[in-house]
Amino acid sequence: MKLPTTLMKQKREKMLKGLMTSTNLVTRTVAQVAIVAMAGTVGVTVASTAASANLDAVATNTTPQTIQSGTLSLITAANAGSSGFTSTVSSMAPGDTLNYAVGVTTGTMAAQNFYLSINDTATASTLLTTSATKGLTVTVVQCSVAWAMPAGTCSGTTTATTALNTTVSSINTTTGGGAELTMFTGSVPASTTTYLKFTLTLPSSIAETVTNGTLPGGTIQGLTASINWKIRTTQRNASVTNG
Amino acid sequence: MSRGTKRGAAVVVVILNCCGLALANAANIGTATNVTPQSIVSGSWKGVPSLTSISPVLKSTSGTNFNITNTGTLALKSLTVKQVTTGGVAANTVTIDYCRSNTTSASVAWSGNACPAGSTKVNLNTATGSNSPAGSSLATSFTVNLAANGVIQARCQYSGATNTITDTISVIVAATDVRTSTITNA
Repeated sequence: MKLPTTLMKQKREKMLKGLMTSTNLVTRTVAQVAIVAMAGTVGVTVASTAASANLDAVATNTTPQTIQSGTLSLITAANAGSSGFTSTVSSMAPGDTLNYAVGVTTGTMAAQNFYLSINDTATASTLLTTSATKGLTVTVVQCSVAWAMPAGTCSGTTTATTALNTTVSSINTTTGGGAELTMFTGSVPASTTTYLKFTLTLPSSIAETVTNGTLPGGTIQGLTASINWKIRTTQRNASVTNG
Repeated sequence: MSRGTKRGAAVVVVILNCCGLALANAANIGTATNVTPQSIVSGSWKGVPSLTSISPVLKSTSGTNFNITNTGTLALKSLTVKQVTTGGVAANTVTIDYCRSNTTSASVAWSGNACPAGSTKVNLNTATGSNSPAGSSLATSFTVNLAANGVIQARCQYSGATNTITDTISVIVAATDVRTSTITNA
């Protein structure tokens, strides 16, 4: 494991100081010569600050070296013509489908892989987001250009993600039973937008029957979900640059 | 060269060869979450009769009117009415029907014992005078186009020999009775 930069620097300085202040003349001289030689190979200025018995040599780069860190971030925004994640449904029937589109934009650092999960912030997570048989399902499809909404069409190339009729319950991390889904793997360039269309469906296979208005136990009817969608990415692989 | 001198020189060599910076190698992540939770609400499908028991059922010169109301949030394209009858005989026929507008298909009020002009009598269920405990045969699904809070004005009566007949009425709505599913692009 590499030590942090600061700690390594401190250790080097302590070691150098020890050598430069050694009571052994040969050791001190060899250390001084080494400093001068190192300065000579990297083209830096060397200055001697004292005379002989305690000779010091210091090497410093005259032009400061610039190091910039990138920004790994994700920003989502509704696709033009779509309400995005603010799309709502007030009375969803079995078989009903809600489509909406969002754009996900990376920061100045390239990223890789997109992951999807949800958090249901309703007072109590309902069957809508916890039932694998009656609850909502989601499909996410990527378009190479912005989705044409509200038509829901892609004039570019569509790419399916692994979110294909995925039960929302399986990606609901609130309940503890769900887990994050890897939507797709691969590099995502910096400062680019990924266009995603979400399709939410209430299963048409729901088979509840109501007699004289009395809802059955464990009903899917009349429930409310308040969904926070979480899209996550990770930084690109670290690289070695020989400059 | 003494041992101490050799060690000092060796350390210097190591320092000379030490030329790289050590970078922290944390795995950074970026996340995006919608600030305002997305609200999704499921609908409901229910039909409720204003009378669940009629005793006695009136003979066909008259009849007992009652309402069937869609108390759910979703429009219905069909529903089922069930009768459980006692006190009559097999020759008695107990019917539940309503008047449907010929133009709008909506339920219209009875005009005495008959459907008013411009409407047609539609049968919801027919049972014998005594079918308990098996229950009557269920009516087949029929088109109602009953919006949420919509009302069917139904009538129950019997024909045949005079008997004291009791009728228990149920309205049954299945998920398949709900309006055709929709696709919303938002």
